[in-house]
This record gives sequence, structure tokens and C-alpha cells, in this order.
Amino acid sequence: MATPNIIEIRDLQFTWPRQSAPCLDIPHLDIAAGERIFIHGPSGSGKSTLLGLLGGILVPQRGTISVLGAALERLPAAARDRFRSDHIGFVFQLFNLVPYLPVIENVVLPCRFSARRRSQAIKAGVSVRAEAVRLLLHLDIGAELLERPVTELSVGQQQRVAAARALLGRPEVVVADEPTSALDADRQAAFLRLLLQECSAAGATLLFVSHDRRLAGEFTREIALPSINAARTHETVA
Amino acid sequence: MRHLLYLASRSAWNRRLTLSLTLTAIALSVALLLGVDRVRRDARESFAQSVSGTDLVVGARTSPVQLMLYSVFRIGEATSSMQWESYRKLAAHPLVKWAIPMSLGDSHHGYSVVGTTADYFEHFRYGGGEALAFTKGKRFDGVFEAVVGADVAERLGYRVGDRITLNHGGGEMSHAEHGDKPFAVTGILARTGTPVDRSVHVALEAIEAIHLDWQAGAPIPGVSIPAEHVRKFDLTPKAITAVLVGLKSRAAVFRMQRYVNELPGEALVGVMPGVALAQLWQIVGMAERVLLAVSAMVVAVGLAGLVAVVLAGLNERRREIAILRSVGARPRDIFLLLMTEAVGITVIGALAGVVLLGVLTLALAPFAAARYGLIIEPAFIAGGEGVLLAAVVAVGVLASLVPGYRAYRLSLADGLTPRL
Repeated sequence: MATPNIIEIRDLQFTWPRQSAPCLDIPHLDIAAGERIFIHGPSGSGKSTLLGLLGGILVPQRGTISVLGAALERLPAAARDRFRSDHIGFVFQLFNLVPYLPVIENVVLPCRFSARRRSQAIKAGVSVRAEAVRLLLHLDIGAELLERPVTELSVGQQQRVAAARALLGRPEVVVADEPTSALDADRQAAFLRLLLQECSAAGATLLFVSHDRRLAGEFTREIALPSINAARTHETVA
Repeated sequence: MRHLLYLASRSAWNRRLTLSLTLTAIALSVALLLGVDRVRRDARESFAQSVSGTDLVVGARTSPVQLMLYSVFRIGEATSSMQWESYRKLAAHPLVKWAIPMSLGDSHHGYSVVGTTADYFEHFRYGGGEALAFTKGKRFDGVFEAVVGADVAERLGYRVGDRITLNHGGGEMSHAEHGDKPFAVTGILARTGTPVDRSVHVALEAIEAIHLDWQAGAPIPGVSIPAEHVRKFDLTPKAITAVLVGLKSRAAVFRMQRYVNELPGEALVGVMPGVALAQLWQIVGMAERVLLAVSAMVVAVGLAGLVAVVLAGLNERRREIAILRSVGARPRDIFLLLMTEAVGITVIGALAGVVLLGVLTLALAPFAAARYGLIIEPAFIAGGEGVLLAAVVAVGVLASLVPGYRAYRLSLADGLTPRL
């Protein structure tokens, strides 16, 4: 296997409870390791649902979704939670950080839940904290902010702290759900540049979800969710 | 689990104002609950300790509880007296080992004055059968001599040789004084933890002497008999209040009781202290149970407040829960996180309540002892309090299931994207 697929989706169908029509119906999707995927689609096209499935929070009713060769739908719930913390880093649109923890504690959070991420962080740095500080510095968060409450940070700084958290301990997959939509245009570009740079440095596959196609140029592949989703979500009657 | 404890404590610290108020409510309610229980137990204990070795308490016919209350505990006043002649008959009875006559009714700065004989110091027993002991001085000998209890001596600062005057009737506000006939303190009794500590003991003859020129509770106008002349009068009492009786054999107590109850010429009653106490607890028991129930309700209110506060905070924490989920927290972890917080506050609140009660009892024990004769043991945890405390924590754990379960459900429903 020259470039093994890190994500494989086959005949996947997911229907939300109390809905008749499936929200997602993806017959086929392969993502190779190291790819930088830009996923876009209008709101309601099932982007969040896809991320929930990738994270093992949701389970498809039909078909299979495998990440790193593990069929998530076959794993028990606790194993999926463990898998998520071991292998996937998340960055969300807003409010990524636990408000009562200082910057550094937010970044090391995955290492509190995942022994694998902890040992990898220690391997990369000297300690979890040292590796976290290194990532933060790369993402332009200075040492003077480490012990600050996250509520004192700007939105841009918060997103970079979230990115550092997603990257700490080298998860194979980084999922970013509209991480730039709360930022102004200049900061969007800067954040994206840093995120891409650190993902390559960490060798992580990046799945970047956005409705803003202007950002697509920086990625290796662009996927329009409606084009791979056979479910006709827009026509579901409310 | 350690990381959950860390998160729970950081999160709780972040909301320390609301949570500390809740904690205070729980601490106060626990202190109240344990306090009611402790006062209840200590009251029983100090009552039970007050008399020992006395087989019968004899007085004019009244309810057994009332007789006990005024003769042994010095609470309330005797409504009627018994004849000296009846005491003579009792004391001479072949079954009787000793009989201590007591004449009550006068007071000294709110402390009861007990007119009695040397038998009192000889035969009276308290606690586990201890006899009275003197820290200073000796028994009264003359008419105008007095032996004071430990509390009386301590609170009023009396030493052997001091001169004191008695008041007619009870209470601190009694104005009628026997000022013309002062008494000399001849002895101070060692502390007993019983009403003896709060009594002034004088000879029966002294009680007669100070009332020579009195009639119907007031000085006879124009009549004044100076102290130095009282010996010219017959000071044998005509009436006393009660007699404490010790028998040669405890087995004879029912026979003796029947003898007392059927003594011709006077309506008397003989009461076994244990039986009277049991009756007293029966009367008081209802009120105790109501008090305990009310305190338990207060604890329940405190715990309900805790659940309400944690639940109310939960909605604002849905984002936080989603973040924790994204970094790998299982729904079970979220459940434990919320449980940890609520249980932690219950436990800390309960412990704070114990400490608060300990401090309060330490601070208030002298007051309760002086004012109500209630000896409160300055213990942090005593008797059945451990059980009560465990019950509070158990109910707290059960109550914590509510926010825990709710957070569990929310974390399942919300996943990574809380629908706010």
C-alpha cells in the first residue's frame, strides 16, 4: 500500500432519530493519509453529521466508516470514544476551550484522556507540557499567555490554542469544523497557513469543513458534500 | 478518574460563589441535624447521670415526672410538701438503708437552695455511683452555714468563708431576701456535671430558721427575729419537699413503693427514677422526633438546592461537555464529572457542618451548662452522629444522580455540537 487510505466510507447511510429520510448517504469516499481535504457544502448538507460519524459520536444505520482501518460502527461506544481521543484532533468554529482552565491546561486536555496521545507528546517533546508549549509557540501563542484564563484571549488566539490542542500528541486525523468563520479575512488566512503548516509538520491528515470556498486553494483536494451525498437533504420537509 | 477530579475541582472553583452558598446551606443544615441529635442525647445523658443509687424518690402525691423534675433536676417548683413525720416513718422503715430529706423553694442568684442533712453528703450518688466530694472546705455544721456546688462557686466567685444571703422563692428576679440572716460558705463541692453543681446546700434547720419570721411567703410585718436568737426556737422542720430513699435490697423496691403509696395520714408517691425518666422521654420523645424530622427536612432542602444549582449550571456547560467529549471523554466520564461535583460538595458541606457544630458546642457548652444544666460533650463526632452523617452523604449521592444522569443524557444527545 503506497498511500494507504486513512478514511474509507462505503455505502454509508445515516438517519437522525425521528426522521424518515437519511441525512447522509455516501456510497463511496476514500481519503489517503497526508491529504488536506477541503469539504464544503451549504448549511444543512450534513457536514456536522459527517464529522460526528468520523468522530465516532454517531453510528451509521447502514454501511461502514473506517478510520485507520478500524470500522467505527463495529466498535462499542467506549472504544469509539477512546479511538477518537487517540487518533482525532478537533477544532470547532467557536468556544473551543474549557472556560475554567488556563491556556496550557486546555492544550494538554487530550493527553489527560488518551494515554497514546500522552506518550506521543512526551516522545515529541520532553514532557507533555514542553510539547504543548512548543506547539503554542509555533501557533504564535507566547509563553506569557500559558497560565492566562482562556476567556482573556481574543477569538483568533482561542482558535490557535484549539489548534494546538488538536495537534498535541500527533493524532493521525485533524478535523476542523469552520474554524475560521469567526475570524476576519486577514486572520483567516494567517490561521489557515499555521494550521496547514503544523498539520504537515505533524504528518496529520486534515479535514477542513467550511462553507467559504475562497479558502479551498490551499488544499490538496476539494470535496463538495452534496456531490458525494446521495441523500436529498434539502428537500426534507420540516 | 484523577483527571476527572481535577476537572471537577477546577470547574467547581470557577463557580465558587454559587457553590459555596450551596455548601454553606448544607453545612448549616447538617450542623442543625447533628446538633438536635446531640442535644437530645446529651440531655438524656445528663438527666440519667444526675441520680444514681437512689431507689425511690418520695414526695407529696403528684405526677412521677414532676416529682423527679423538681426534686432531682431542680426544674420547676414543688406544688405541695410532705410532713416531717412521714420522713421519720420512712427513715425508720426496716427496708430502708438511708433516706435523704430535702427542702426546696429558696434560691440564691437563681441557683436552688437545698435544705438537707449530712446524709446528703454521705449517701447521695450520681453518674456511675460516685459520691460527692469537696474541693475546698467541709460540710455545713451550724445553722447558718452553706455548701455550694461547683458552678455556684465558679460563677459567683465564692470561696470558703464568704458570706451569702438567700432569696425567698426561685428565680433570679426574686426580690424577697433573707438578708437579715447571712450564711457562711463552709465548703465547695467538686464538679459533678449534675444539678448539684448549681445548688446551694444548707441544713434543714436553716430553712426553718430563715422562715421563722415569715408567713405565707412574706415577712410578718413588725416581727423580726435576729439570727443570734433563732436557736431559742425549735428548728425541727414541719414539712419538707421530697425524700431520696436508698434500700438495703433493690429487690424490695416494689414493696417499699407500695408502702409509700399506702402510707396512712398523707397522700405520698414513691417514684423509681428510671421509670420516671422513661416516662419523661416518652413525653419529650414526640417533640424530639418532630425536631429531628424538621432538621432532616432542612437537610433535604439543602440537598435539593445543590441539585438545583448543579442542574441550572448544566445548560451553560453543554459547550464545555461537548469539548470534553471531543477530546475523548466518554458519556460515563461526563456522568462522573457531575456526580463528583455534587457528591464532593455534599461531603465537604457535611464535614463543614461537623466542624461548625464542634466549634459551636465548644463555644456554647459553658452557657448551656450554666443556664440549662445541660452538659454538652465537646466531641466532633459522637454516638449515632456517624450514622446520621452517612445518611446525609448517602442521600447526597442519590440526589447527585439527577444532575449526573441529566449530563449523561445531554452528552449523548449533543455529541460534539450542542444544540443551544
